[in-house]
Amino acid sequence: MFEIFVITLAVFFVVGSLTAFASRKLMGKGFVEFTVGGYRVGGFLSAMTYAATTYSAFMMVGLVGLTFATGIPALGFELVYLVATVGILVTTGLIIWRKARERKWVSPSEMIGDVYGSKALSSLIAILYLVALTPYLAAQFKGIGEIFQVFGVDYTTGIVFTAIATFLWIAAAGLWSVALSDVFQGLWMISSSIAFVIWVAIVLLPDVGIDISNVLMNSSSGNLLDFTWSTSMFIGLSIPWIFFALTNPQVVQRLYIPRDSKAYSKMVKYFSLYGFIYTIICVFLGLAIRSYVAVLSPQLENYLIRYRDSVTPSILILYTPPVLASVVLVGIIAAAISTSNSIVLTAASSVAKDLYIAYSRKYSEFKALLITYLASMVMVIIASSLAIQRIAYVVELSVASSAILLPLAPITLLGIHLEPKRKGLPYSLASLIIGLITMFLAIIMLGPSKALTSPFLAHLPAPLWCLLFSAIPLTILLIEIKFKLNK
Amino acid sequence: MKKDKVLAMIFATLVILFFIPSISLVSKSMIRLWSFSIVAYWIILTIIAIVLAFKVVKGEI
Repeated sequence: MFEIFVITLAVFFVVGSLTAFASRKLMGKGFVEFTVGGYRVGGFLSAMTYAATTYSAFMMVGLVGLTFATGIPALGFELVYLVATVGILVTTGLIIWRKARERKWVSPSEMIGDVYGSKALSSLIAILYLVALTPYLAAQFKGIGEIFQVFGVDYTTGIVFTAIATFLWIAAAGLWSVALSDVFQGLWMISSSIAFVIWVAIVLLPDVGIDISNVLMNSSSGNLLDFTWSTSMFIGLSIPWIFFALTNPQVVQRLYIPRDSKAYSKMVKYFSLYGFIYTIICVFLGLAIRSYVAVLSPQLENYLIRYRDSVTPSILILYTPPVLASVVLVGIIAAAISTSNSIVLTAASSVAKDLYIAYSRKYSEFKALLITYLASMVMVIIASSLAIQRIAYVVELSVASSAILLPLAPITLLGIHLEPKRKGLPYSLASLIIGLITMFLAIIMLGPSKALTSPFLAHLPAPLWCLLFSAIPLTILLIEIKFKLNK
Repeated sequence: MKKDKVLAMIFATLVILFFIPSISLVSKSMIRLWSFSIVAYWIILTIIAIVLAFKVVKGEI
């Protein structure tokens, strides 16, 4: 098993690196080429990098485990994300794509600063990205380290491998190498999960001859086909994901890159299909594995309900043929790396654009690129150190960090559609501060792991209150604008 | 502009409709109807959204 995993991983790394370095042929010169591919990326490449960036290791580990433990509400939670994202892509996303080309936006923080006419706001948001995304990155690295451990490889080796792959595939050709390696990784992710689901359906389940629906309806956790979550948990977990396409910089930046409207349209189509298929596969796996384990070993079932992130690794190690298990686990590693390198490149480009270029009268392309490289390296090193130290609260911190980005949703939406410029600045700052205070209060009062899902005020979760409270200053701004227009 | 507003409203409605099964009475009635009805309901909403998005990017809407 160990040898097969190492060989599969080596094949993955070599092909991934060759792909990344081959992409140098596509790259032109300069900072804009390195960070957003000169706004001339094709449709298929845009779609695959969007999909591989969005879907992290959470899908095959977190979502499978969540479905295993809590049943079908996990499907609603993941599909509502997809529907909201597709909706954003064909409405606000199209406007962002058009304006990004006109204004030459590179970073999402620059975009928000531009529509509110403030460099300082861009810088503030660039710093917010760094604070919010570094723990998220560390959690991805930690996940890969744990997968390595499953195969008897040292945990630290796993982190070092991830750090090298993440940095190398950025350094090769910036956005071009990230996007091209994302195509390779995205295809590996989807094909390995399809192979796994086929094996589960035609080998694993018939082996014990069970009626899935009957087992699921009478499980030890109740009817898993029913809505088993609390309303607060469903709303609280879904809201940050509904606005993910507007709040997370690594996916916002993907909206800038398609070369023309045809490429943009292809990106929307292929991403929608990819997301739909991948979600159905992961949810089916969670339900099928639950039925299988419930019949075969109730003891293991109870253990996996408590440690739900172990569901996929356990089934792969205990019951799956070694070659398939290795391919699927490398697929999970691919999902984590493809998300990580996009996060690092985006955050580093925000640092270069909004903390250096924005304040230079005559900026040097060389210096801007150097800052992007250095910021990428520093971010990878900090995330690796956090993961190596196995700080227990890294995962909790990463959950909290996704909450910290939520207040960006209202200001982005209003800013893109109305462009209030300087007169909107105090309102946008007030909205951002109110949103952040709401989420910090929730983290302090409920703890990072429950800040999203537990009732915060009036039995409703904090993300909903964050949106409502941060919308107040923007509603006042909206009324002012309409009032002036009517006058 | 008006078309964009209508589209945004349609997608917002689709998103809100996802939360209907979180009402206990609704989910119980759905399950009584057919054990996979909540699954089917969410999948149908998603397919509607994807088909709509395809039509928008094709320029048919």
